[in-house]
Amino acid sequence: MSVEANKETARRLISQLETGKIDTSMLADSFTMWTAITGEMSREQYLGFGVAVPAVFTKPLELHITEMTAEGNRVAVQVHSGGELKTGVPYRNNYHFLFEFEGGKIVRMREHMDTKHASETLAVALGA
Amino acid sequence: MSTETNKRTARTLFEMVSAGAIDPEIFTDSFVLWAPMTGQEMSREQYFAGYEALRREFRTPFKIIVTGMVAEEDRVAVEGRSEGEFTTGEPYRNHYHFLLYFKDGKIARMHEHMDSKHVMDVVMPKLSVS
Repeated sequence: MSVEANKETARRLISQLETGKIDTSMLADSFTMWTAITGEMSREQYLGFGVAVPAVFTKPLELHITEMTAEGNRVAVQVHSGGELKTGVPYRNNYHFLFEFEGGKIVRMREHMDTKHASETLAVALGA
Repeated sequence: MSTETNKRTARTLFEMVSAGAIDPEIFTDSFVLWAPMTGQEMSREQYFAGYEALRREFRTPFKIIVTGMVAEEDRVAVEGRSEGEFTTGEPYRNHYHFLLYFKDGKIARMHEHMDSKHVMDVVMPKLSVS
């Protein structure tokens, strides 16, 4: 798959994170996802988590891609988000994702983000 | 400059950070550092002041180990992790995904995405009392 096709898949996934309705055909069976807060999650663990997160927003999370850097089978995506949590506080995070592709599917995803902001706001709303 | 040259320069920057001495010439004069944790942009001088303040809290310079790089046009995204030991003996283990922008072979802009909670938990208490 071309770098451009991988970028397009990364764009689609980021946009689907807004609602949590993820087209699972984009994810390889052996897909894993990592954040510094959660550690590594399997495909099933991550898809369960993706459903839980949008539920705690009263104003849906909007994600804006600010930069994409791609080479070989990898795409780095810088993103900022904005939304409001059911706890009444705004959620505005900054991310730098790394996606690794295999056969056109995402096999690994690492979500580097402002973990301080997430743990003070989103984790509270999730009751984590 | 080619993406391969930029990647080499990116690697050199983190080798210099790990060695405890950064050559300011690796940055442009108008270099800017942005870190989501503070939300503020820092000049080259402010970046060096911050680096020195942090370095003093460590027994030996903390190392940034590059684990992956992705380059396109004027940009290099660098994943890495740090290893260090504070003068108090506590470990410092952070995760990073930098985004570097290059201009004429020098680093013009750096975005430092990192595990900010780890910084708040282990670094900030030390800087505020020193």
